[in-house]
Amino acid sequence: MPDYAKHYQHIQRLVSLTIAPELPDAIAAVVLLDHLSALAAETTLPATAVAALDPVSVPVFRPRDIIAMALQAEEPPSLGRLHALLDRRFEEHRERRAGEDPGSRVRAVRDAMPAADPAHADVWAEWGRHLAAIRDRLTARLQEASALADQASQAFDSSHREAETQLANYRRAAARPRAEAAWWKILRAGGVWWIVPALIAALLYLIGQPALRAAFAGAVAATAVAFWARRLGDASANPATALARVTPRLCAPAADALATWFELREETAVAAAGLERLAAISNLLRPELEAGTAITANLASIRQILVRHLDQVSEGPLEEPRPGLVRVTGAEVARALAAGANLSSPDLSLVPSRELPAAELAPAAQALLSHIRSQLPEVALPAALAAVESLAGGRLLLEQYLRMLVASATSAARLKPGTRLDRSLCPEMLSIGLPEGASSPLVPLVARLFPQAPIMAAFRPGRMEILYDIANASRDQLRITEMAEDAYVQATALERQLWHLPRRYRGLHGEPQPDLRAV
Amino acid sequence: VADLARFRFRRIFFIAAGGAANTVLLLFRAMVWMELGFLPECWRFLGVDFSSDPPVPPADLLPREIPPAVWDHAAYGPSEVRLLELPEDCAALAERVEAGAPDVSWIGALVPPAVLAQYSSGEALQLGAFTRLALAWAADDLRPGTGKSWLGLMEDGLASLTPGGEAEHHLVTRRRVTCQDADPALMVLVGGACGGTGNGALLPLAIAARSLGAAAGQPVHVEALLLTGHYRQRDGQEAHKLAIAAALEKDIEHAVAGGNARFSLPLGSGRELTCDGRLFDAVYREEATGRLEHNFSAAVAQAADTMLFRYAAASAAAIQRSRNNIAFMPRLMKLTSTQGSRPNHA
Repeated sequence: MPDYAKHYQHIQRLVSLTIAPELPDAIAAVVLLDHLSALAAETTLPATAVAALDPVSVPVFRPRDIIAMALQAEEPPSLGRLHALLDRRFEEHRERRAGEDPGSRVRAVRDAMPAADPAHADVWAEWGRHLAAIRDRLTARLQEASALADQASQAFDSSHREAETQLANYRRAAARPRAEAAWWKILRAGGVWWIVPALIAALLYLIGQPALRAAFAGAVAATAVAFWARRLGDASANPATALARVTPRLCAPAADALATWFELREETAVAAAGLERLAAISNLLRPELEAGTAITANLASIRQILVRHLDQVSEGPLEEPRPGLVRVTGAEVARALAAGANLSSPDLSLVPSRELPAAELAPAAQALLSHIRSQLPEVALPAALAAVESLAGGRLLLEQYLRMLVASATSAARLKPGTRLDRSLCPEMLSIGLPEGASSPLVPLVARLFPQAPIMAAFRPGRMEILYDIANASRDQLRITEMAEDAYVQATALERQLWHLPRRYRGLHGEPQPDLRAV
Repeated sequence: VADLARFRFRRIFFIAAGGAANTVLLLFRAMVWMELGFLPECWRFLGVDFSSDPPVPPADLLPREIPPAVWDHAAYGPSEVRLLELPEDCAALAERVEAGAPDVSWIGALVPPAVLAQYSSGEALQLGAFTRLALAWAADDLRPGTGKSWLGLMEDGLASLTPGGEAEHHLVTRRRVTCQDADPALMVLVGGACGGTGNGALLPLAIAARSLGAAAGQPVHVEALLLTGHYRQRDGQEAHKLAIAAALEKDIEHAVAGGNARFSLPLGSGRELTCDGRLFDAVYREEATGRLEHNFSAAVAQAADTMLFRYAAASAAAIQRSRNNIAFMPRLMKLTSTQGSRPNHA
């Protein structure tokens, strides 16, 4: 029977399982990253505002219609007059379009955007990109249309000269006596095909057959007169009518080049006006665009910081920073918990609207994390452990860690080999403290793993505390005592004297203190 | 804001002696501060160590558990730490002791003059005798600027811990909570069994607590938290450390048994602290077993963790009450075995 006068009342050890302090930050980081990704995915410009900004959405100038109508008149205008007419109409058209207020388009954009919400910084930044894209497109279009317009202008000049020459000829022809003009026209318009009958006539004349000669000449003249009479109609009878009919045909190439030139001129003007308008709109939207771009740049940098932050979080899902303390941690657990965090739209108002220098980015990221963390519900241990169990192999890992933790607690007293405690006098007790005590959702897990352990309310919130204690274990029963006694008996009398309380030494060894005068 | 209902507020005087014990006590203070946001006014603290190794917050010990800012609140205040030292010329002192000079002859009862003459360090050198002598030497240290000695601070602390005294008054007025019991004030002594300072100071501090309490008519409940086993890093001195731990445990065993024992600590010529009977009401072991062996940070953190539960948790009190019944059993058994019969209740 052990000597129960030699006893220590208790050997007690408390170990615990808790949530790593960095886990709430990791959850906040995951929530923030998810939100930033969602923002980036939702960067769509309001359709109504995009339509309002479209520089092509203006009435189209139609030079071909005007030319066609002008040339259908009884007295078709000359190409010069036609040019002047188109020019005047074009200026009127441009004035109508230029009277438009860029502010109305800016209002349309602002009205389509939610009010000053930094969460839409990406949309504002997207507006900046959209305007830049339009500017690039218009600039290219302006350059291309200008080059084509130059070519069209040269084509018009060439066609114009030719048409004017032909028209002048016709006018002169219309002004001469009818017969001369008819024969002249016949000869000129007949071209090479009249050489054939002329040669036949000359041949007949030379072979000296007057009857044949007269008959052939009469037939040719009759045919020519009949042909030109059909072709010219009554042109010889009314020169003005004949010119009105022939002018569209003669002016067609020049008119076509003129129409092309005006179309390209309109394109050039539209592009130039669009650029001016974009500059005005950009100026009016500058605060929003600059803030949006700055916030977006900041968020991109903060995003990188958050990714690095998550990379640095302990691997998880469980870690043991020291024997006796196990923690739930890791990005995987954070993601699982963030999925149920129910914080769909974190407030990003802490992001400054000016672009931050590198030194201010980390504090800004930390402030955002803290802010979002304050909005998140507190992470409860049962939820954290459920997240661990939801991971692949998590349940088994959790059970292993819990068993290891209990082993750390129950190893508080190592007995000498072969020693058996009298349990009626030296009871051991393993108690499990849970958040919310016996009503904790973790009760089934604990009851399954440690069926004999009574469950109590944990002292520290958010912890599973495992308390082991053993009463009345005698010092002689401990393994460490055996080792210490072995060392103690090796010591000299003087050493022991200096270790013990003086009077206690005499009591232990039944002898006076050593005579040290000889030392 | 902490849920104060989880806590048990008792009048407690925590005293740590030596490097490991002070590390435990400072960690305990940091953990309490992290839980409560303050250190309860009904608690008093005193850290004792040699001046060559003053207690400092172990900020780099558990950086992931204790944020650096916490140490600003958990560090000892000026009136919570006292440093010990022996006279510079111990050889001359030893000569006077040897010669029987009346003012120093009492020293011979603590350290043989021949050993004292060899002393030239500022530490205990793993010899409890030097710590006991340093405690006695510093007990009346009234040099200007040093404030009260460790003994004076113990006296003041115990005086403030009387029921309804200053400590309880400040707790009520500042925290709006009261001490939940009217038990005697609790004196918790923390010491490392394998170091010279903690080993040598544990019993003298208990003697002082009992003696001062008796002198003030205010009994105290004395408990000890003993760090033992291989809690320090491996340095080749393990056997020697275990040997001095064995010596201390023999003394503690004797002190716990009580009976007619009389304990005394000389403080100067003709003056000593004395007490009779049981020196400790309870001694708790925190042994560096298993993976705690030679893992200093884990061992001291484990001790602080268990201390926090034991002395701050309301739930621990309920467990303690049930354990008291169990702890009584061996005494009853001993009584039965020595008398040869069951106790006679009549």
